[in-house]
Amino acid sequence: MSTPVFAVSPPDLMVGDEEDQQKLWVVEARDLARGFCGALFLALPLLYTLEMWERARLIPTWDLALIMILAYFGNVGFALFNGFKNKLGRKAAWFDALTAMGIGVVASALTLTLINRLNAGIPAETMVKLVLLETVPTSFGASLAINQLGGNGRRKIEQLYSADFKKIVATSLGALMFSFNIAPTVETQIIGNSLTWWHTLAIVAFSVAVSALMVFFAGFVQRGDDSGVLRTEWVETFFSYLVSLLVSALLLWMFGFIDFDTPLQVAVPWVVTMGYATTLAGAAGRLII
Amino acid sequence: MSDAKQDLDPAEESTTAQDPPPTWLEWSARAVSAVLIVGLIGYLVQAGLGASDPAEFGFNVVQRDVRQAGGHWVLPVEIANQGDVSVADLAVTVELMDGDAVVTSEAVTVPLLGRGASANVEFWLGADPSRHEVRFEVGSYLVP
Repeated sequence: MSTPVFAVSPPDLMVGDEEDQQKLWVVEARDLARGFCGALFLALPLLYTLEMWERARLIPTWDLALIMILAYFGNVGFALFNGFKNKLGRKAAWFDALTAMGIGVVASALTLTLINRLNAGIPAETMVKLVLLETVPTSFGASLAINQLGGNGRRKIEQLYSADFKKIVATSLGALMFSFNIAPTVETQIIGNSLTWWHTLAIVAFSVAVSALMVFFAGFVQRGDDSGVLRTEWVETFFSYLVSLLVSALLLWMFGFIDFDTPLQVAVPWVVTMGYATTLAGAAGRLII
Repeated sequence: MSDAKQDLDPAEESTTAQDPPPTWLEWSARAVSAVLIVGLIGYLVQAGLGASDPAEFGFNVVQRDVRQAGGHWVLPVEIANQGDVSVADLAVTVELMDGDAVVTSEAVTVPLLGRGASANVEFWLGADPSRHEVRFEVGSYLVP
């Protein structure tokens, strides 16, 4: 029988196995603490990054609102496969994503205040934008707390979704998580502007090759379910590369570097340059999930 | 549905329900999170809807801090962005005027000036600003 969505347990309810019984509220407090630590662990470099502070001052309001909506769905994806709770039965991805974003707001606001990036001299709107923009990586950190900092849960999530779905989500989320540290910086544009078309093509070829090398030949982990449309190695590799390029373009848009008016000859080298990082990270994501 | 999936109980499969259900602690965390996120985005959207003025700048000479240093006159100025858009690379020139003639001038670039924000800059000038008319001129800036 399914549990009602909006049910409430008494706080002193004991949970856990026979040898390790704990009150449920204590377990929940540990979950929140784990999420908070995960948020800081992943996102501290971005809380210390000048480009993030600058972007918060320049980003259009509607772009940021859209980014927050996308970040929520990203967090749902992370919560499905990871999260900050260590028991699958206590996970609720749609709610956990919301909590992760709340944790992200608190972690961002506290750290930015401590390092004097939020103070009385800054207009309220700028402070709100800065906290929300930093909430994207901090909430991702909270949603990835189990993977980053450990936990004793045995994930059975692989039983729930199709192989294709897992691969696409893993590529997207892996690419997003890792490349977020690179995306706000101007180096991607500097590199992209210096490339000839031969360099660009070579980066495309090398990105695809390294992705295949990492997932299929290096033998980091034993691969699981190989059913679905993406079951052959070359289809998975090329489709994942396309997904990684989309994530690259999304990140470059998010930080104000490209939009629909950017000429293709300018945008393509940038997206391909960023795509090198997102492809590697996407490959790592497919190994982890 | 795979055979393995049939081994999962409904709470493990669900993306909204939990077993056991959360206590008030977790529900409170969810509620606070929802209020924080919706409140911050709501504030932002409300501020965004009301904003329409183009970039406009105010200049305030901090008279009490005008001083001489290293053979120059130091003129502290607070530059405020009074418009509704943030700007980058704001180029400002200060000129000391004697009638229509420019006695001396100095330029500065402010890397970023957010909407409603202000920046304090100091111009090092070759003449005493208290003896001349001080004129400010905005040269250029980047609009996001």
